[in-house]
Amino acid sequence: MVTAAGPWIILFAPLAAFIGIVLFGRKSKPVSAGLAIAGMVVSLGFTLTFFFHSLHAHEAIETAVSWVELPGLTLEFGLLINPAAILMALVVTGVGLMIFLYSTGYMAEDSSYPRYFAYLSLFAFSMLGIVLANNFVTLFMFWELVGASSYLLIGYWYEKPSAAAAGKKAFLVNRIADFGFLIGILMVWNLSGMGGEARTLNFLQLEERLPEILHSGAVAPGLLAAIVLLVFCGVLGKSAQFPLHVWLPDAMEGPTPVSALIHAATMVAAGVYLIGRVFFLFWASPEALAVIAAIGGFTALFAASLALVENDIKRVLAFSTLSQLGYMVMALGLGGYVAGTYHLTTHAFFKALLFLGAGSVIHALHTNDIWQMGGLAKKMPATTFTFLAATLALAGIFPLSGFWSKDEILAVAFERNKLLWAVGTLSAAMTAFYMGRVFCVAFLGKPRSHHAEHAHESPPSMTVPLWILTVPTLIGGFIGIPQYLHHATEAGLHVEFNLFVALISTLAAVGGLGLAYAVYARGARPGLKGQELLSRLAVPLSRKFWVDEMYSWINQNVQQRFADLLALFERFIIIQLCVNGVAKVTGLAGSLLRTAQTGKVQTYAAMLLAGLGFLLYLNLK
Amino acid sequence: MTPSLLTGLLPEIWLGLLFTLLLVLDLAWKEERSTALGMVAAAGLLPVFPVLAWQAGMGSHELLGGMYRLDLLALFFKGIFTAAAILVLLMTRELDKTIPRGHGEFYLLILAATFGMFLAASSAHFVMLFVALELISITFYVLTTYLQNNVNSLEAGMKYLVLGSLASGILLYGIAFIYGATGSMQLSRIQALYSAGAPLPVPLLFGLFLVIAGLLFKAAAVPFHFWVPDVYQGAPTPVTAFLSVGSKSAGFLVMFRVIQELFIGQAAQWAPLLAWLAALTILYGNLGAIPQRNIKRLMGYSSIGHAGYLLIGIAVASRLGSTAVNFYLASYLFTNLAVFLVIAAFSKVTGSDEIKAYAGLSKRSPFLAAAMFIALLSLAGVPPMAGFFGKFLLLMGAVSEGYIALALVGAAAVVVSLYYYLQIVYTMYADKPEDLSPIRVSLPVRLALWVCLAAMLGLGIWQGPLLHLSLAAISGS
Repeated sequence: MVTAAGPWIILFAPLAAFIGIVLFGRKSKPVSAGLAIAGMVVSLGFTLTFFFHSLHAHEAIETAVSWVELPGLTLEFGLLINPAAILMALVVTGVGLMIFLYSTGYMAEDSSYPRYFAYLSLFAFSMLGIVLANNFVTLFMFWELVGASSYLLIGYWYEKPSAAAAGKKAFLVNRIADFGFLIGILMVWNLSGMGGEARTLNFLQLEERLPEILHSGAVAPGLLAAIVLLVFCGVLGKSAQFPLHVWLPDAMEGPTPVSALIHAATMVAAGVYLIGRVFFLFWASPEALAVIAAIGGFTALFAASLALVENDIKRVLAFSTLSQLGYMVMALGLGGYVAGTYHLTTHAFFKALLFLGAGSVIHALHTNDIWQMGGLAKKMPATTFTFLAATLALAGIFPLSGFWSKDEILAVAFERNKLLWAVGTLSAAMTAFYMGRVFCVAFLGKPRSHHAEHAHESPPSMTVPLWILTVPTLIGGFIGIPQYLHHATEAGLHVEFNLFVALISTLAAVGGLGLAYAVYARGARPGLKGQELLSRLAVPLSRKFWVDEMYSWINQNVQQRFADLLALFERFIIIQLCVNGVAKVTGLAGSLLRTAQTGKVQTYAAMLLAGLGFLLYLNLK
Repeated sequence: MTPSLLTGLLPEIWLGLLFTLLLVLDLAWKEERSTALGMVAAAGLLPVFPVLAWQAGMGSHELLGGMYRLDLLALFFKGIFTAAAILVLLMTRELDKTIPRGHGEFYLLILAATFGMFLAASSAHFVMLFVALELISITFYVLTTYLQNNVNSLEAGMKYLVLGSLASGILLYGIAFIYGATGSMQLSRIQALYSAGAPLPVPLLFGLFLVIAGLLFKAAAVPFHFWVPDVYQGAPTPVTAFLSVGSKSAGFLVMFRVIQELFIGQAAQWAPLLAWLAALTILYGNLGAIPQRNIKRLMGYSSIGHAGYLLIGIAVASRLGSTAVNFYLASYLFTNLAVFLVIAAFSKVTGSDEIKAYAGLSKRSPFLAAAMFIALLSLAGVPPMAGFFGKFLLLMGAVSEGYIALALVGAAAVVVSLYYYLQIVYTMYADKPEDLSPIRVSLPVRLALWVCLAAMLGLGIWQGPLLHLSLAAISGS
């Protein structure tokens, strides 16, 4: 049942749920959760019909209504469905649905439960808007909506100052990035008219026109690279790439299911997805792609190193997400469209699973510190098994899903850029190590706290989604995702399976896990003897290479000085002269006009006639 | 399809029947049930919309021997008048206690004014036009004085009557000159007399300016605006509301008819005057609003300011400008009525129209405060509200016809208007209320406010349909 209304239903079902919750579900937990879940089920159902339809019909489906129509400015509000969009929508609605279900257990005790589900539905609506949008304007609107709704979700526990601050930080960092993105969009708008046709921001039309415009030589390669990099600015923010990665670790202040939804499967994936959506644009500028690949590779390595020493289980996962996103960006930067998008999909499954598993542990133990855990394998078997599966997938162990997608990225890197391949392989080893560390410390050994001794498995509402997500985590490499994606775009390159690369990366993964097991399964912990050297080495890591400090230094010394100067300017020139001056003059004028209004009808009549006489005199003299 | 007398005049006939029905019901029902009459009238107006939509397919025609015409512009404005009348009827329920007697006639008079507006929209002859405008004016004189034990209301009505008669006299004098110069009162015939660019003879020009002056009075533009603050303040709130959207729209509609349609080719002779008046009106209205303490009086000045913006659309004499006027009037209808609905609901409970009394409204009635906030933002022209898009179109029209200075004045006045609109918002949200008792809002007013809010946001975000209608109304006539 693939109809013209289908895409709209996918998009608007969560919005309808949001409105329903606001109108009818503000007081009731079951109503709000029920509406939110129903909205997701509807979206998922329609996405599935499109998925099955697309298995034998590969052409894109576009549906749009014109939104603003002015001479010289026509904007449309439309949706475009192609394999990549369907895949991403499946991730958003499928993983999203699991997270919604899980939340009914995780948030059961929360006092403003309906508000939580209202925000979740709003977020799902915004995210689906990004996935389905057929042009830059629609996409940008939803892009901002995602920013706003994630602000609400991260700062959900707004009475906690750190949560409120984290929400603000995420929003502001994203705003900075989006500013560049917006300029990029405007430049694309300009670019689209260079062939002499009416300007457009529609993806399909842009894809059609771009070769012609580039061929005509009207665009310098430098300009194109600048445009691509400005658009990439948006990716930097949403996908938290270096140097705008700082918001993601702090965003862990939100409820854990939110972290699973926003910071594993959807919002942070939006950036990577955007590159894929307009890959024809990126592909046209090799210079920009080189920069993007370098940023991705650096973020992969940099974030993995930060995860090595982190003690907060959610923050480890956050750094790991940064690192994996770096992987995907690197893949796309190297031209591996399929590899990057493939990893995006598998990562969404196993990283959401990891976050939900961490949430299950946090729910049971009321702590995020891995050193307060330990010995959970016996007490929480379901959580332990699913977490282990996801850990192995993330580490890239054959034949789990992560192995295949990561391997495809490394194969692309091996072909295109040996240095980035080495960076990727090193990050893979580090990934295996920190995940092994978390698993050994949190789940193996002896309980290290009172809570850990008395931990119980979470309720079925939480464990069932874990089991369901385990399925794609295990078999995600065998269901033909790359083949499916090949129909999305012609740009980009594809490489064959490379046994050498696979062997090396498996060695790295096994080595990392083995090392972690050797160090931590025997009870190593910070502060033990013989580890001073190690802990000294870890200082820059645990301070996150002082990036936050650097930003605040820049804030205080450069920006603040400049702001002081501007404040002086504002106080004297703007406020005194412009604002107060204007206000005084207008106030004076207002009082003067008031005297004209005497209240005497004779005066009014006289002035009316005098005005008429003056007008006639002016025009007929 | 060519309309017969019955199908062509169906909206007017329906209004006449509704009027008769109300008259009978008013006699049959007891005084206490008179509020139900308002509901009957409002419900009775609803079928007008499908009739208008049906008539839109008929094309342009002249009926009644060239006195009456049916075209898209008339239909568009009849739609505006009907919507305004329905919302005003809903608002009138809030007046129950303040009107000393004769509730039934109050509703009848609103219908009579609506009937006059319908006729004005369809008149194709100066005599018909004058009669229609007089029907509107005289009903409004009566409506303004309806609070018979309120001195302000009586004073306002008296002033309106004296000045309104003066304006009618000027209009009639102008019509006489036009007749004298052209030998005809029929608009289409006068139009045929002057080809594009041919200069108008002085007697005709003299007559035209007198007619313009009479219409500017209706539209509340400088220098024919003196009645506005006093009448707006003194009249019962629903009457003020109806004046500000219905009567004003009628003024602009007739300006389309007698200035643009007849003498578009001679724009050079009248457009500069209107452009100057537009700038003066914008400045006068917005500056005059600043020191006001009574919210209805403030809305009077605000209404003058908006008349100035609308005049830009007439002065630029282009399709874009005219489209913008139509769009602006439709969005202004919902925005302004939202403000007056809040004013009516508020003064019903508190008995006050002072801005000071609105202190802490956000705590007493979050809904009213939020509705007022959104409506004021739309009035000031803040995106994504409908008011923004209307102003945007008007200023774009001015720029594209080279009236850069006029556009700048319009843009600067937006800032001024934000100042006094936001003062109200500040009072509502930041000031401490003296009385904390919540304000109950009746269901009809709540309903009407939701319609206005939906329209303000809907038309602002999804401008396409209304824009198409506005354009079609200009092109199809």
